[in-house]
Amino acid sequence: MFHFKLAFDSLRKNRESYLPFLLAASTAIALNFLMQLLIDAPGVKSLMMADIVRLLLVLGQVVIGLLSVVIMIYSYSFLRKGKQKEFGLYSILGLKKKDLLKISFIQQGISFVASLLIGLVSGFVFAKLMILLLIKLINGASFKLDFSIPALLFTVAIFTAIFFVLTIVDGVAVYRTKTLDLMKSEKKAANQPKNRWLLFLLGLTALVIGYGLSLTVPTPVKAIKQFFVAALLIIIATYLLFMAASTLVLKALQKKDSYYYQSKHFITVSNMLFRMKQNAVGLASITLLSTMTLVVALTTASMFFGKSSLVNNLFPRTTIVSSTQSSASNHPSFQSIQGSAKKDGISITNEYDFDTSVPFYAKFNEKGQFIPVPQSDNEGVHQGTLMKKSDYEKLTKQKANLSDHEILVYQKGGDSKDAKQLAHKSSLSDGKQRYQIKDKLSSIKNYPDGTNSVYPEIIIVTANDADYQELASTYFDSKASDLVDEHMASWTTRQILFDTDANDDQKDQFFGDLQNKNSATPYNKSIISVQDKSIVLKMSNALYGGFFFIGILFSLSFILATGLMIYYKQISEGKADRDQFDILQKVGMSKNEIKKTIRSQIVWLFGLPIVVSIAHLGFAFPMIQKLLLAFAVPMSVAVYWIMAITILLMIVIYFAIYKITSRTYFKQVTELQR
Amino acid sequence: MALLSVNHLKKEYKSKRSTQKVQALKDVDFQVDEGEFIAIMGESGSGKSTLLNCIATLDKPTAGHILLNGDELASLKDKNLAEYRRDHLGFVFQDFNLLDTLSVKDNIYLPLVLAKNTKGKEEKLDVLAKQLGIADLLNKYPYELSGGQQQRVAIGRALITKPELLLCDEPTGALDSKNAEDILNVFGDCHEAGQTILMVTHSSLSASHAGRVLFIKDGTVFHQLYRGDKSEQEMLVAINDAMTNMLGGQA
Repeated sequence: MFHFKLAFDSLRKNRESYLPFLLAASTAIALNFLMQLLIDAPGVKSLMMADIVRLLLVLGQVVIGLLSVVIMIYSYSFLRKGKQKEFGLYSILGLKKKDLLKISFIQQGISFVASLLIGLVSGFVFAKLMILLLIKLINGASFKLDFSIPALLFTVAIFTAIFFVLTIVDGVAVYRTKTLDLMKSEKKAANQPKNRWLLFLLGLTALVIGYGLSLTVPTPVKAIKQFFVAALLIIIATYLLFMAASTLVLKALQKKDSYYYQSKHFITVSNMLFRMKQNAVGLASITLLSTMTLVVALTTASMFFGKSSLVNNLFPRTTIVSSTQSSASNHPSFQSIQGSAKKDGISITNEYDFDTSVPFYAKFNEKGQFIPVPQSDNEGVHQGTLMKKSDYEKLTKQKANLSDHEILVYQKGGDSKDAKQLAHKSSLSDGKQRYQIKDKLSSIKNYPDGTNSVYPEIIIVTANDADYQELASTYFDSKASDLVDEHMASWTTRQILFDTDANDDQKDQFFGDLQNKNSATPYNKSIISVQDKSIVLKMSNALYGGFFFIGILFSLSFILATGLMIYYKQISEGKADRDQFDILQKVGMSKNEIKKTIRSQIVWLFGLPIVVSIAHLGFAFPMIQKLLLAFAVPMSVAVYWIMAITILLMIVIYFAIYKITSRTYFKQVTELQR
Repeated sequence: MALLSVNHLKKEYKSKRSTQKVQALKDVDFQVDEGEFIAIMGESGSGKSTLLNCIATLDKPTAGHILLNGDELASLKDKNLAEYRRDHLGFVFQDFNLLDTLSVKDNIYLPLVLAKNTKGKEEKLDVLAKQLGIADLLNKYPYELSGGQQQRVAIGRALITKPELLLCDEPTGALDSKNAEDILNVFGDCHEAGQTILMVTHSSLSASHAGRVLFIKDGTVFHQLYRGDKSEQEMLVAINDAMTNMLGGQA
């Protein structure tokens, strides 16, 4: 009982660092439990694309689990510092190490039980809410969520392990320290920071290159390859610059007498100089965490909101049957499709079809000629398709006046450096023949227009069959490219588009029939595939809805982690700053001036990470845009709104944390010791 | 008229847990003339620190008056206290209380900057630095200095505003005897230059440098001793005699 009382007392005295630890632990437990519950929820299991969603949730669980461990160890380290002095006193009063260990153990037990109770209950309640959001995002039907014993056991097991580790760390620390060390206050003689030009220059270089990479990335493929390089450079730059640039700037300010020797700048500048030295790494980490929050929120939200326009562009009609055949006469006729439909009791309407060549791969060479590429991994590759004038006119219901060797060109995803080459051209040469570009089209009406290729696409509309054959023989030349062979020049892809009112069961039957016809044909090279808007929509709902949901959870936990870090930073410094403000008050600084000084310091410490992470986001924007294109998500106006809202939300949450922190901090430093 | 006059000062503390009041100062009454160097002596718990805090406006008396140049300190509003402190008073503390984040130069400038009175600060610093023998330390930081050097810097900070009254709280308490002697000589020089000094101490040696010594016991001025034309050595003997009497009276 005696030990229990001491343990409890010590926690109460350290509540300013203990409560946030409890909060961190409970939140971590709640989030992990929530993920577990969702993974096991019948509502999620009954989703159309349950496997994708659950896989995403498991991935999310792993990341959140890791983050929980880090945050708990971090916040626990602050709690330990406060406890150390007390334990030193107990030790001098004659408690043995064994007793101290016992007290420490009881404290862990209290924390464990308390945070587990709070965490599990709030996790369950929160899960009930979050499944509503998740199922709504994915357009699922069932919102059922069970209290799952395996989920509970799993969560409890994880956190038992974490607390066990903390207890061991604590025990070793108590066992090893000598009584006198325990009593010593953590007074450290900080040295005046020096200017570090080398670090500054390195950091600046890394930043310029990193930003430059993002701004100049030409294609989505490149974006995927360069993203990690750019991210790494920017991470390095952030750390280096926080370490070096802050000192440089503050020292320059200190040299400016008219600025420095003003009561509102004097203390702030000189304090910040020392603070930035101790805090550079912490602030840089906070900056990167908040940048990550913004990037995750932005990308997942863009994916989610971009998906319907993506699907609509891909599907001008509800269903697309595409058939690739070596001879045009082998394509299934619309009549035969209608026949199958009738048999299955389905009506189909608004039909149309058109033929194109199969895709080929080409690029602009140094002479500006558009020539076949040997392999697909070459720089500047475009995916090309040939279309006859008759098909173009059928699609658009417009006359195209093309004479011999005149073409129309339509380019998709065309804002990359390579693709822009075409914009300056009035003619296109395939290396043998020059074709006059009659018009550069901005769209082809009724053409299924989703960018689902990672390469920029070019569609060439030819004036007549002779031109078509000529171009086909150039691009489907196995001597020039490994990706094609000569036979393919005569192959065609026919896309038949129509609307159906079929329900899911009817569709299964109907699409099965269409594809069975395919297997009955004697040509083994022929392919018939059926794509349905509702199925693709469901799939992208599951994928992007799942992404978005996890993005929301990640952002929440990142923001919470960041807030906690700032809070601890301030509080741990508040204890050290108390002496200083005590002196200032005696020397004649009024409470009001102290308040102002404190405020401007905290504003700097809070504001800097936010401002820098918004700058990072701004520069990362072009690259994110390209990355999204790689996932076939076009950037829409909505994305700017999402960005603005995310930033606003983050600032609001930060402001709340700032308010709480500065109040506690101010209370701490102005308590005069008498 | 006296520069500082303390009239029937009384200070009671209420302890947090009980309603019982602790009387730190019962009835303290004395005057300080301009240019005087006064030491206030007393044992721990005699109330001398409370007295200093009241004069320093860091604490409010329960009853009685403190007048500095005719200004009633108790009637000052809370928000004007800080301003009053930095304009009229200088402080020297036992543990120096320099700011580690400021260079020596900036530590001394601090009161001027707070008072927004930085004009001609270089000349003021020049004079003080020479007088205190810290001219070659100005660009160092407090943690690079010895205790004696730090206390000189602290004195510089206290004097740069040319305060009417210099308040010292055990200024040699954290120093070895050599450094303590040096610091006391600095006070002696200041006193000769016309600075009024009020020093709280329990060291007879420190007090022996003063022109007048007040002995505080149980919250009242128990005895006072004028130096007259005594040497420091004779003064020390006299102080020790008085202390013995005071303690004897207790026994």
